[in-house]
Amino acid sequence: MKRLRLLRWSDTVLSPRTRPRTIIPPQCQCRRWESATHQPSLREAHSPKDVQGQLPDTLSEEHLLRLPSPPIQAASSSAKLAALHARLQLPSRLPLQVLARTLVDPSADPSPQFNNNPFSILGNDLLGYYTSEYIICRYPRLPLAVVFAAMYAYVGPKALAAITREWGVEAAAHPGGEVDPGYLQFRRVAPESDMGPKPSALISTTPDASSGWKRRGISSRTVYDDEFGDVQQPAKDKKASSTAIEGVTEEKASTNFVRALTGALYLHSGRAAVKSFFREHFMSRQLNIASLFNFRHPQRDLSRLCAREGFQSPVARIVSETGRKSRHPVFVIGVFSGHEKLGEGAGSSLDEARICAAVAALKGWYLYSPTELRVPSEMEEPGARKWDRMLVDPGDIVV
Amino acid sequence: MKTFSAPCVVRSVIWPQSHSCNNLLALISRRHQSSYRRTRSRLNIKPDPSFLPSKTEPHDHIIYNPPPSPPNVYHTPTIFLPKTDKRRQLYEEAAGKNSRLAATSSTPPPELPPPVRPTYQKRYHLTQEDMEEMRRLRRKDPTEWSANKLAKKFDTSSIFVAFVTEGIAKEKREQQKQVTEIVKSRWGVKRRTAREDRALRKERWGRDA
Repeated sequence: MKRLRLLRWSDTVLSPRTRPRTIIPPQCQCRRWESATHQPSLREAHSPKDVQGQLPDTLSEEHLLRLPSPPIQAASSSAKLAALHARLQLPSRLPLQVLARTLVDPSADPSPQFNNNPFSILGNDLLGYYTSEYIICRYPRLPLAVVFAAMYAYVGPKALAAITREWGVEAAAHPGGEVDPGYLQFRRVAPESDMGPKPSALISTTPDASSGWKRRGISSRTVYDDEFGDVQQPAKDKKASSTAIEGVTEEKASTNFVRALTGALYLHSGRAAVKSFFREHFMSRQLNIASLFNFRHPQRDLSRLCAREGFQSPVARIVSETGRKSRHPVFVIGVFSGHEKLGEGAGSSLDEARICAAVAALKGWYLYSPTELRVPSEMEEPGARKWDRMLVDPGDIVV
Repeated sequence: MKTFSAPCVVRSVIWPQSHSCNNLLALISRRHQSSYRRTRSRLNIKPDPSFLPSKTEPHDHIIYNPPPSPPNVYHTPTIFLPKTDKRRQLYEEAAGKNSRLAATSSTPPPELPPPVRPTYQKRYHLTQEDMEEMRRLRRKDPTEWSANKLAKKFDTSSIFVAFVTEGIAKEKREQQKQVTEIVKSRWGVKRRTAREDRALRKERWGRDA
């Protein structure tokens, strides 16, 4: 891929009205002795002529109060922002001004040139891609419902809100131009306001009138729904939302910020930086995937699995027991396929122990993990080893 | 003269799992011997051989005695491993070594534990005519020809009878539901709570970690 001229990009992405003096393109290094208001010809070719001219360095209080978000000059003098940049060990190629922009929610500043919406869209795609490939490559046999749950646990709104708190990002009480750029700026939801109709918890997986006749089981969710398997919220009409800016929750604003930071990092520092960022902050989080399972008929499922894979049918055998006629018996039951033990479970009744054993056996099947973790995106890196085929399993057990 | 005291409680004392310090002190202070020395020697119980150094191993070694816990679900059983996985080969080699050792020490191969329910062979002895007969009887009189009665007549399980006669006696199902509702409405608070708790517990079994 050709090297991106990011410095040139940053000029057009930032507002044409304000020119931060800290960002100087390399072609103009020799012209530094010229006056600050001189507009180099390269920039003129890319940006339209501004009407107002460059704003003065120190803005007046009245002017600041009128702005929806802090001016770009404020970023270089914010201690909070610099501390955040250092704390997250972000590469120096990511400017402070861009970091300041990622902290501005669209509800604070509707202009897409000053808020984090463009970055957030890109960052959302990147996070979804890297997380899903990590989960699927690490546990190739995981059922799709559990994959969705794991995605939600790693990069869902609640996880990203927790990450924002862990990073020590504080939220401003109300957005404005006078706010320190190191705060997360968003317009809060008015108290006791109607949050709108709650989205339905269950998504139909059968083709019927409610789903528009296009659903074919849970796999349809990968096509029609978002990365967590939830129905995508319809985009609000731009005409319908008039001048009133709707508030967002702190969770939503934190989610947008984290996604925006990822997107900005990718644009300014490149793929390797964003991958290491993902590894350090998202992939390193501990999740017990075994706790995400919930089986309704585990014995039936295990029986179908053994039939499908050609193993001998599973038989529950009592490995050990104690206190059968007492008030607190303990049965340890193992599920055997021939002489091989598939799973073991303990319970205070035979039924409970049998079901636990079947659950353990099914988890032992689904949580298979290859010895070496290789993800498809590592082939983008230079000097990648030849791609070895990975396990693609037949899918969930169908009863 | 040797005093014969029978401290039955002390000699065969069982140390329960949920032992608190207070209970322990109470047991010790409740001695049945005349002197502290005798009490102490009575309370001296020999630990399980697995906690003592092995008689067959003369040198220092590690005693591996983990607490009882369910096996790790992240460990995949050998037959669940795909054919291309390297661990399959390693496990089979290890199993081969163990079996060779077992052969040399001449111990019999371990038997499988007893099954929970007696094992049975699936029989496919029913023909289409039998199944049609089953449906005919069910249609004729669902109250008389219940699933259990049909299962006994055709020497099969009631689950199979339910598969074959699915959708035939819908009125009986509705009637049975009503009967169940009436019975449940007569339950008191305790019974209802106990039943609901049982249902919640059963649901939780499928979510075991």
